[in-house]
Amino acid sequence: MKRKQKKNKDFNINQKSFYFEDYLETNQKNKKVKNSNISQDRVYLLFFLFFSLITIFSIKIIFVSLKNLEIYNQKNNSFHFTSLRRDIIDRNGTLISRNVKSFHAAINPNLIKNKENFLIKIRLNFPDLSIKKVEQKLNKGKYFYLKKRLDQNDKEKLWSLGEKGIIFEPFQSRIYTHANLYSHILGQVDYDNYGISGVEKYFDKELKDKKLLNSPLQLTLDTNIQHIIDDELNRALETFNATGGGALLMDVNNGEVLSLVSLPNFNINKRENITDNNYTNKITKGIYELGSIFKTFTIALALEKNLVSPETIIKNIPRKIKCSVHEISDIKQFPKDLSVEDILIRSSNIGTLMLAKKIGERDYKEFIKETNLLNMPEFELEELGTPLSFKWNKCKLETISYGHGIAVTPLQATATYAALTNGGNLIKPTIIRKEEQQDNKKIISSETSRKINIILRKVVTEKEGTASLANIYGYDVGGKTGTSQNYGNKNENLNTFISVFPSQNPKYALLVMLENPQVATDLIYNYRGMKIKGTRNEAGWNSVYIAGKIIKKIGPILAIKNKEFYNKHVAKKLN
Amino acid sequence: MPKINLVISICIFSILLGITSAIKNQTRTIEKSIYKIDKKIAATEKDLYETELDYFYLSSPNNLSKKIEDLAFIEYIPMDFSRIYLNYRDFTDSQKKITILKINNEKKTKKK
Repeated sequence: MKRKQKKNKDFNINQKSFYFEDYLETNQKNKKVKNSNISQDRVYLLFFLFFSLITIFSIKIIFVSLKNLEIYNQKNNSFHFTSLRRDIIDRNGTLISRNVKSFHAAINPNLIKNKENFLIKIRLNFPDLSIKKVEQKLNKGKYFYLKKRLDQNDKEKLWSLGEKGIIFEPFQSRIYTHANLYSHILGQVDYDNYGISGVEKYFDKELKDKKLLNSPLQLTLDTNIQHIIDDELNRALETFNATGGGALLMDVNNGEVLSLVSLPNFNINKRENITDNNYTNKITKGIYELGSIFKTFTIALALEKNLVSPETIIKNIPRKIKCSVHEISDIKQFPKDLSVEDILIRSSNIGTLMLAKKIGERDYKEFIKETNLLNMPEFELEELGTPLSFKWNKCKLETISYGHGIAVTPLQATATYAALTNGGNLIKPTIIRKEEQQDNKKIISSETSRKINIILRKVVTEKEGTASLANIYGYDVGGKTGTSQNYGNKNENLNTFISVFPSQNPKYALLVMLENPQVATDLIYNYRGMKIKGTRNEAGWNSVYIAGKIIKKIGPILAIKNKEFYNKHVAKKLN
Repeated sequence: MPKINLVISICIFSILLGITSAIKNQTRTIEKSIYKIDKKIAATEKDLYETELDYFYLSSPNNLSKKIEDLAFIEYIPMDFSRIYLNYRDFTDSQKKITILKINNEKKTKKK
């Protein structure tokens, strides 16, 4: 210290050392900088902290506003329901099939304290259930299903029992709003939502496609028309005491099926094990000898090959022809000389047979091949029948010419009729609405098609025609009847009528088929203005009658201009 | 100077704190309301889904024809064409005519 003081004495006290001054200032500055650095760091830290928080919340806001609402709280939302299968709608947008939330009632025996009490409650509430079986399962102590596909009533009953051991297992069940109406088309799904029949099976993949879940599968069917045809056909079964029946309405130009009815049908909302063959889809799976309907094909082919014209007279038609061991004859006695169109109008077997002979086996075979009549039909259903194969032996051409010895599905016959009447274009029948047009193969010329339409119209209008009861004024119905024996059972009749309307420019083909109909003695027909009682049992007296009734009802829905209505009720502009 | 810094820091802190809490609260409210709306939408969608099903079931042709059969005892009488008015004006015009006629008739009867 003394040394320091000595040293300091040598200097003027007032004089400030430059170095010292500098040191002090720098020190102070450093201190300030240091202090300010600390405060700046804090500010930066705070900024960073708040900036991060704001960023986090901003991101959250953006995320909340942008993210898909479906992800948002979906699992916790008891209201939310995502269907596992697409809806099915008809051509007008009417709902046909939809998935809904449903429940199975399962039992966990370990959670049931008083088993006797539980069994009594079950017996009281569900007398249909076998209590012995429930008791056995309960005693086994394993989880089991008490009742599957509960309805609201059953669920409430079980709920009110207040048993912990009853577990309501949610699942999706398929509801069909029209029950029986589409039973042969829609088919059913199993408990795991896999299609097991009909459209449900055929379009199983498409119906479960997650990308398309919000867009329903649209069919070409029309619910109103389907109902009318189903109703009329059901009445026909009663009136004619028939064992079954079927009907098909098809657009002849694009093959769209507007209605497909097969009776008997069943309620597809109920699960039943049906083993009766009578419940098969008669239109697509049934294989039948459709009889005289095939005569139209023979005549069309003869006209197409320019072998004859509708006016050509076929002379000396014999009353009977013997072919191998078979004897072929006509039901009625016809004049010996008949024009080609008369052969079809009167439905002469022998006349048609003679024309088939003119055509020859090779050309007839070719025609049958072109029309795919002997192959399994291409159609969007699982239930399809394969026509019976046969050998072209000695009498085959003769019998096939008038529709015997050849068995096809009614669907194929109607599609071929559509082709013969729409200008000759072979169409593929479909039940799915498609935007793109089909590439159709031509099987006959437009001119032949026009001639056929004229003859088919005459079958309905001419006195000798077999389908007078379908002459519904204003709709220009044309068609051909077919009365044949059931291929499986020769004692059963199969009466068919395929009609096309309006015959000048056909738009629709309607097939009506009745299995084993009986004479309707109580029915009074309005036959060409006369009231007559039913005494006969051919297609002309049942299938044709029903087709007429159907056309009368569906004509306005199909927006076909009814001449009678137009002339009487539509006001015409004079200028 | 350090005091000013401190004040600025506190100010910034409080402002940011306020903004952050406001944003946070806003987010929570939005989130809650979204949840509520979503729940409502889901419930409405479910209702619509089931109502549609009911509608198509109840308005199915089969059901309607049954209903018509049940109500078939009602006899509908055709209405005179003269009593059908295509618009409200036609109706009021005709009513005016009727009232004028009535008044005239009353006057006539009074005179008598």
